[in-house]
Amino acid sequence: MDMEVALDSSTRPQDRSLAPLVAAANGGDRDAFRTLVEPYLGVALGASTLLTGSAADGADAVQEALLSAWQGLPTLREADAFPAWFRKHVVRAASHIRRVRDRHRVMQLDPATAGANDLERVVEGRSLSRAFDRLDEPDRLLLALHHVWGLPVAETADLLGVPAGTVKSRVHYAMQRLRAAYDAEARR
Amino acid sequence: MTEEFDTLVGAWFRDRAVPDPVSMATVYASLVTLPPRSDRRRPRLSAVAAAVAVLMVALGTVAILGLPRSSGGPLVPLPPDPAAFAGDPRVAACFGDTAPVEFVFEMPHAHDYQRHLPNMLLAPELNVEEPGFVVIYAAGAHPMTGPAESMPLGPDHRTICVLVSDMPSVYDDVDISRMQVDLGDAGTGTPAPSRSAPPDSGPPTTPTEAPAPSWAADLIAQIECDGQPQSIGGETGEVVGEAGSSVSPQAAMTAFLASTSFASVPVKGYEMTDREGHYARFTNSVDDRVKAIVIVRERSPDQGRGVWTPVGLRACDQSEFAPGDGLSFDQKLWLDGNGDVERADRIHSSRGPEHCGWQTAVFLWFEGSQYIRDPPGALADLTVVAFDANTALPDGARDTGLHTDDWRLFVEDGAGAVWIETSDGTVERWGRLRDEVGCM
Repeated sequence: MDMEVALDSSTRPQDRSLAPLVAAANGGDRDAFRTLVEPYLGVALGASTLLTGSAADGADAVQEALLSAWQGLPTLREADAFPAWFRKHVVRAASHIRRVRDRHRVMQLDPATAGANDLERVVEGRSLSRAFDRLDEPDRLLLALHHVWGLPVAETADLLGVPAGTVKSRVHYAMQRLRAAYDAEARR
Repeated sequence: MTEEFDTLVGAWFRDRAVPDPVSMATVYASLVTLPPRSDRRRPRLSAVAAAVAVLMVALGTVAILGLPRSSGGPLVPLPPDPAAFAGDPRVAACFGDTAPVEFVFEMPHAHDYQRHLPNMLLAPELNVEEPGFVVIYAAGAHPMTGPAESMPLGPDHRTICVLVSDMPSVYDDVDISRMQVDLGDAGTGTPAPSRSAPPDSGPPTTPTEAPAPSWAADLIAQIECDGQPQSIGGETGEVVGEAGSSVSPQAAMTAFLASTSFASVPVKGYEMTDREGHYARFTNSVDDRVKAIVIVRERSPDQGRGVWTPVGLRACDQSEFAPGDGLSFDQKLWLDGNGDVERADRIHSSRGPEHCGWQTAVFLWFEGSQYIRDPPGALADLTVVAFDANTALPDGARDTGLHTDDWRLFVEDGAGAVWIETSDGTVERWGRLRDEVGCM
């Protein structure tokens, strides 16, 4: 199974140290900060939209992540670790927003299926959206990290706080649960 | 896991991962308006806060918006005064210089967050060994939105920040009543009494202390099976499906049924037949006979917003469920010679698990033995007789009458295999496994 969509790998800044940009941003230079984060915004927004379940919440999560990263930049120890560090902010902000939202709703929303161009695909996409929404947070997070960000196992393990050796099997089990939820949706 | 499904999932993730232009523009706008470091207040009401407000209106809870805020009176015993942490960079990292701070304390291990704050909702990202640094903002204060824009909170509810490994996480609307700063060696420190639980009223009641209703006991006697019940699950006690934890009994059931990959229970047709205290009972019945029971229990109750988790499960054989209710685990049931569903404890089959590389295999359980359709020979070493994709029925083969849409089962006494006639007339030999195998 090889479905990773490493969207940000193609837009990653060239092989040069991020230290000057981080130092400048640390000094309050917003343009430097913007240059730092800009390559990652697209995929961050895509991932957070998945994690929160709506485009509006996803945008909110990225905004929160930008703000917390901006504020927390002095705590970043290794400048070149900025991309992974920023992803952590995005994931935490998205998880947080999802939790807040979940407390205030009973029915799951049915996000529109982007890019669907025929009836069958719309129906499949809707079932998949509902199935994904039925997964618990660790599964949603894991699948989003795996399929959208295409992160290496080590970084995925770090973000999830689990042993690296268990990431692949966790992905497998999460996919199984997604399949079960999808089948259940399809039978409704 | 079929290739078709993998393709569908891949395409869906790709579609969903493409940000829409409006959201992108919103993010860019916030990027160019980042506040200077001396003023970390967020310049506008966040979209999620607005959305929550709309949802609260929609859910009819708008009435609470007009209630006066909590007086913010201190809890007893108090955590250390924030002044004790003056100049501590962790306070600043938790935006403590942008909003008034009421309490600050340290957690030796972040994963103990629900022991320190028993009413805090689940926060999986805090399930780590590292210390946590907790900053609790004053009533009504919020480090992002500022006091004018923050959401009204209930009594004892605050916005808090938890710093772990230099990473701050902000949590809105946390109920800090029963807050416990010092857990003591055994984690049995005295909880701080809240206004709703005066000091002389004793510790708050928790679901573990409340007796379970009588209908939550002896589940095995409550199901009405035609034959032996399944061995899955157990009586009310320990958690049987952590992944099913949720904010209501119904939501917990939904999550549980979507995650029970290794139990075969109906995924539909449940009714909440009882609810009492912190327990609820769901039953699935066929012709008014109970075929499956799930007990869910509320943990860490918090003014009706505790976490509900399945804690008891008993179920009859899969063949006794209504076909339309589906199965939570992908098992194929077989039909007997009359076309009736045969009991799963006599025969059933399922695909091999992908994570062990067995996805091309089919496992067949028949009368206590396990057979395998294994074209690539992944488990050839473990079978009595090798798989054969094209053979003939042996002279002594006997038609069992057992069949599915695709297969019909033949057996021969004393053989280390079974024979399957496929829908196109081909006969396959499926070898018996010497020992039952599984894949974790």
